[in-house]
Amino acid sequence: MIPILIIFASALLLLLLLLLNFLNRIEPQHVDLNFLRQKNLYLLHVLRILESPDYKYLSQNNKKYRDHLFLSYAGTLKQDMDELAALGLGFQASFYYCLFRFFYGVMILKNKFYSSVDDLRVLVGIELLMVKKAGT
Amino acid sequence: MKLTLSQYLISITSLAIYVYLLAVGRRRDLLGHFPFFYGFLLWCLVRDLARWGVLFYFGYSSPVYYHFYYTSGFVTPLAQILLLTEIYYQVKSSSDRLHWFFLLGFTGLMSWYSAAQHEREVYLVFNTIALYFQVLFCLLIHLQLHKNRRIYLGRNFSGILYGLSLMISLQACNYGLRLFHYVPHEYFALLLQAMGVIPFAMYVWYMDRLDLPRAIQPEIVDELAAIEANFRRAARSVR
Repeated sequence: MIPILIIFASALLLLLLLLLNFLNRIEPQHVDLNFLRQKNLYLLHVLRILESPDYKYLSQNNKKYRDHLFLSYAGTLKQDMDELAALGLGFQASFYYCLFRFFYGVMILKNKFYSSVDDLRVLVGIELLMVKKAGT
Repeated sequence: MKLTLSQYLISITSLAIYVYLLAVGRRRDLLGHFPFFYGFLLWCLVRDLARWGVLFYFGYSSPVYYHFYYTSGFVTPLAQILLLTEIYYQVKSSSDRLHWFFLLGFTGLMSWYSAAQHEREVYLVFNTIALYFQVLFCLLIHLQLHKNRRIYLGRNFSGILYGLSLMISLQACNYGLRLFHYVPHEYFALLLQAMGVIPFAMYVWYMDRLDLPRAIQPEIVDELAAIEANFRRAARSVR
């Protein structure tokens, strides 16, 4: 019984690692070193924009504009995460990266049917978590 | 016992994928770069065609088909281990002797347990030992790959690794179902054939063009490490 339990647990662990490595598949040659050198994360801009009255007004009153803003900002956040993932910041950061990619896909899909003002906050929250964990 | 429609469909889909992959590999000159992988594919194609021949000639419940099915099943795990070894040598670190020591030691220990459990079932014992080794070997490769993010494995080897890992982990999960009920030979039968199609479909995606593993320039590695240290410092200030 114990060997079977071990192989079962190992298989589940392998599936998890496969998922992590599959989602973290970044070509290091494509990483923008200048971007990283300046630590110029789009996250900071998006955080500022989320708090601005213009964004709040437009995203609450105009669905088309809200969708457009969401897609543009979500794309820049994804770019941030790709660049950060390429640094190889450890298992914990990889977990957040996978979580981000999952929610990114879900949000993009959800956005096709129903969009909300808070969609972007979910992605921002996950990226903030990753950045904070990377600093520990 | 007769073959079901799903078994026919799985077999035909697998054969079509093998032929397609071999044709694409030949057309894009990939065969010479990945001889083990395409050898493995060729083996799968020959094995499945031969199984169909034996099946039609002797019948599903004949002893010939039974022995042919299980005898041919001895080669596949060995071919998969050969493929994993090829990938391992792309990602290995300097402490590889220690890895082999643990890998072989642990597999030996687990195999001793399982051999004691099914001593008369040679096929089952062999596949169980191979499965232990494959799962641990895959884990080792993934950990190496994860630990050293500076290694760029290339599109093709990555695809081979993902496909093999998925195949092996699903086999191991399937085998792990023994925890809940005991039906000896079915673990390595129909369900595995169905799950085997998914990794081969992945190969169709990853083996479309040549992209070999590349050594990343040392100065870029150094620079990335420096940026990472800076980033960690900056990230602390976000708290």
